[in-house]
Amino acid sequence: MTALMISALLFGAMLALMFLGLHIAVALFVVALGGAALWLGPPAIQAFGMQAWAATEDPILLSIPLYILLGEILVRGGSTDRMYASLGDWLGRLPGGLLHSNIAASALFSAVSGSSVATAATISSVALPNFRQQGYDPRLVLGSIAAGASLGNLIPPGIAFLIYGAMTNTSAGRLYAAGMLPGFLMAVLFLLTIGLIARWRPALTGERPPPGTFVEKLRGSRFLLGPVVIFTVVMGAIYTGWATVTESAAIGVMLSVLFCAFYRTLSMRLLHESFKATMRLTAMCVLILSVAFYLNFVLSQLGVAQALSQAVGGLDVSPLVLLWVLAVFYFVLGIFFETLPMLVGTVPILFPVVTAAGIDPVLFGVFIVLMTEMSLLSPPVGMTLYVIQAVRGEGSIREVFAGTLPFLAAMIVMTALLIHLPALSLWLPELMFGR
Amino acid sequence: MRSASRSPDPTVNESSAIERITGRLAIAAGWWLLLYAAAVCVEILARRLLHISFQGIDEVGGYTLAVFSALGYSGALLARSHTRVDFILTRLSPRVQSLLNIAAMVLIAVLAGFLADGAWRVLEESLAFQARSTSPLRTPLAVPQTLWLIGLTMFFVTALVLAIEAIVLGLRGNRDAVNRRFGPPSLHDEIRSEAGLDLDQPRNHGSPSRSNDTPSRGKESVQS
Repeated sequence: MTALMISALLFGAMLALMFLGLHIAVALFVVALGGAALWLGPPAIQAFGMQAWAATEDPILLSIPLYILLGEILVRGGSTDRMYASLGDWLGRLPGGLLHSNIAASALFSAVSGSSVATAATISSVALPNFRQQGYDPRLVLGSIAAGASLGNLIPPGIAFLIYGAMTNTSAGRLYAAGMLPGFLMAVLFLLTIGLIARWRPALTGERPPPGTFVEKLRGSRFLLGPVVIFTVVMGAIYTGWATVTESAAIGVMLSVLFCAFYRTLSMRLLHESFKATMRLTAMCVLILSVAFYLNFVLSQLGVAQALSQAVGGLDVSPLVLLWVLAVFYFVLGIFFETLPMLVGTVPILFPVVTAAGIDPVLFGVFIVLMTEMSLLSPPVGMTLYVIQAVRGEGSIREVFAGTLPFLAAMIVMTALLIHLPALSLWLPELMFGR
Repeated sequence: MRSASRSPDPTVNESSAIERITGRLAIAAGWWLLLYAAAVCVEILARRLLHISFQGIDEVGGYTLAVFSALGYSGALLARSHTRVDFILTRLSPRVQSLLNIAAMVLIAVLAGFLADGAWRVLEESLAFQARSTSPLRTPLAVPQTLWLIGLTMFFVTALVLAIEAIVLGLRGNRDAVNRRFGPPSLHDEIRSEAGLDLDQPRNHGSPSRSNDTPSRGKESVQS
């Protein structure tokens, strides 16, 4: 059997096992073990322990629990309601009114929390009561929260970039730099979408809040300080070379504790709840990651990467065509899969294909993260949509679906921009770290 | 559904004991992580301002992740946090669902077994060669690897207990109980664990049977 056939077989088996509802780590493991047992023999099977140890030994991966802890502490102690209100003060006068603060609050919150479920649930519970009597079209209210909540991984620091970086040996600092412009551009495109809708169909948007004085706005902004300062310091420390990615995550954790003390929300209970959640989420990520490393090892022993790159090299496809084909593939896959399965399930196979076609690994990292964001937003399965509907507890899920459509269109525009303007993602990392 | 909560499960006490242990471990490990973060900050300041560098803090960090995650596996399994794709699963008949849920629990126990076995091999080798890290710390690798093995063994034991529970429930023909306890978590459970919001409590929407979906078995046994 050729390496190409083996890889097709393993990839198909893995997807099938995932679809059957087995744990993702199990699906990866069964495939890796099967590959090792059928074609490699006992040494490759026994290598599992060493691979699992090596996977977790990488110091950069320690930033996973640190970023999760930072998010958990800030989410629990950061006064989301007042943060939301302050964003409303600043953005509420734009055409489209409070809808903008949905985007901004969800984007800010998901950038620090790293969990789109937590973001969608928290922002919905804070925002929805505000909209009860102000005449906004419910579909747009729901859609804007979903759109903002899906942004979390693209705006650094996110876990998805760390995982992609670890699996493909791509620098996390570069990936973060690369995600920055597309992340902010995506947020701006969402705001523009709302502005355009407000222009064309003013009936869909409701009352804007009364203009506040500048001093009032500034006073409210102290609740924005937490996420904004942490974001600036964490990213700044990475880019000035003061700290590595992991060290800056540690700085972020300490800052989040300080901010909770400043907001007077710091308590043992808050810390302990955050610890428990952090350990749970870290365990979930790392289990999948350790097995994914082992799968990567087995695939490389099988020569899958070389076979795939040769096959792709022979086809002579252009990077643009390949990326569009992959965009469609990920769009379909994203209907069923969440972020993590999408990443670890496809990267081991597709990464060699993509690099063989001459696509920059950093660009592909941003692309794949954008694709996972799209999967969160696309009906009928996107997880965040159901979370928002569950928090809302009335009306039909169809209204949420309808509300996401304009934002989904904006995301498709973003995908096109990312594919056709590589500089959008590659300019900043090259500026900061050189070629 | 009612009948399931009325007949107390003999295994419930065992798993809640594991739950207590994993909860305490998470708190201890969380403090360790926080202290580590503080130490890193001190190190950065010392390095930048005083030009002194403590060596080996990176290395401790590497072991921290291995141990931290291994100790977390069983807690995550009990909380049903290990990711599954439930798109097709939830659309199948309860019978097929319960079979797949049992298969999932058995297979994750197999994975946990391979992990614990692999960790044992790694530790054995480190002990045999008295392996030390190549860094200035020259840590005997057996120290972090023992903690790692403990976490993985705990994971294996937890997964084994749960797999046996699932099989026993399945053999008794109690499909609903299998699906409720070993299926992917419901949306409300997920929102509760991720965002700390309890949608079942304050409002009264949804069917009353919703309250049976809660994974907190403690409450159920109080009711019965």
